[in-house]
Amino acid sequence: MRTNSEPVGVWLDEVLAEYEVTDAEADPYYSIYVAEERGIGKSFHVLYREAIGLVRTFDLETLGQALLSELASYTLAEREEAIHIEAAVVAKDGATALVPSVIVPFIRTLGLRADRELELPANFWVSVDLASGELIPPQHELRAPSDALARLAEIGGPNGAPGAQGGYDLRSIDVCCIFVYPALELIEPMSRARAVYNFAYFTRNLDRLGHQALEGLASVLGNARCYRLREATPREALTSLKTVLSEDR
Amino acid sequence: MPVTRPLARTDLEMVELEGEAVIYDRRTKDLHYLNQSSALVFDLCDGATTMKEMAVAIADVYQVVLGGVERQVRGTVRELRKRGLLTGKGEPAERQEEETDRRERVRMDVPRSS
Repeated sequence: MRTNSEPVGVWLDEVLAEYEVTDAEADPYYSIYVAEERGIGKSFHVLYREAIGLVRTFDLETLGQALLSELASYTLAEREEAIHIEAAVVAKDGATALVPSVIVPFIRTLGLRADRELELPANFWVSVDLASGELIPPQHELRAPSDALARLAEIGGPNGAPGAQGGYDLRSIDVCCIFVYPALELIEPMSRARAVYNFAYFTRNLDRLGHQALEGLASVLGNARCYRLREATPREALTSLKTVLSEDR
Repeated sequence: MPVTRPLARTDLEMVELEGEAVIYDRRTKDLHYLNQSSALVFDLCDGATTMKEMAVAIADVYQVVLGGVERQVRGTVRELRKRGLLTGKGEPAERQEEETDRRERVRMDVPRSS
């Protein structure tokens, strides 16, 4: 892990000390680019996984949340307290879509435009409550100080507010999409069973939970309209997502 | 042609939705999607029903010609076996239910939306 910011480097040392590895040969896998003062205008802070820009945000706390969520994803296969899926909830005008999380950085390559047109999350996995079968906010369960994100926010200073997250109800998923390429149709309806089958591939603790995981997925997608969307380009994926989110509910 | 009574494995994790099914096989870590017709045949693989009897029950409920259905049932059973979703060989089990019961099960498997 590397960063261009000394204060953020110190933060990493303090917050993730327990997970530090001392292998000097290891390549940096994650990079935190902290926007620098350039006089006019603002720049994004960016979290990269290798060359993939996972999150671009003005808010350092949001970036920290994304980092902790990303690191916690390595523990999900062993957890049993909830169903953990490598998926993301994106939203537009209060309507929500469950999508494979890998599509989010793909769409984010469009830059600011993507965040203006869709609410894109900083988390790259979602959790389903075993009892209720509803989506719940993911708990990262890393051994990090409880005030870790607050400390990062102090470093960030007043560079902007957090992204417009959370203006929607997690309990109700309106649409569920998988992305395919090549495909003849831009947007193609898909059965719920087909959707469960596809999202089961993204369920990190499927082997632990088996039938419970399949039931949970079926429950989450119980009222969702399900689609296969073509993803030739980020623009195409974004446009199709907006289309299915805007359809009459 | 030998008479076999296909038997679905009982250790599979399965969820059914609108007549279709998703199956997770912990042994192989494979996921399977079954469309309505495959899920229906899979449901009839109880170790007591022959493929011919499956076809008769399905043809009766859907009011279609038996010959085509029987070919489809045999093809589906072959595919289910290839995917490892059935036990090794057709079990020569005793008949456990009457023809009318089997038709009733097919009717119950027909999704309400179809």
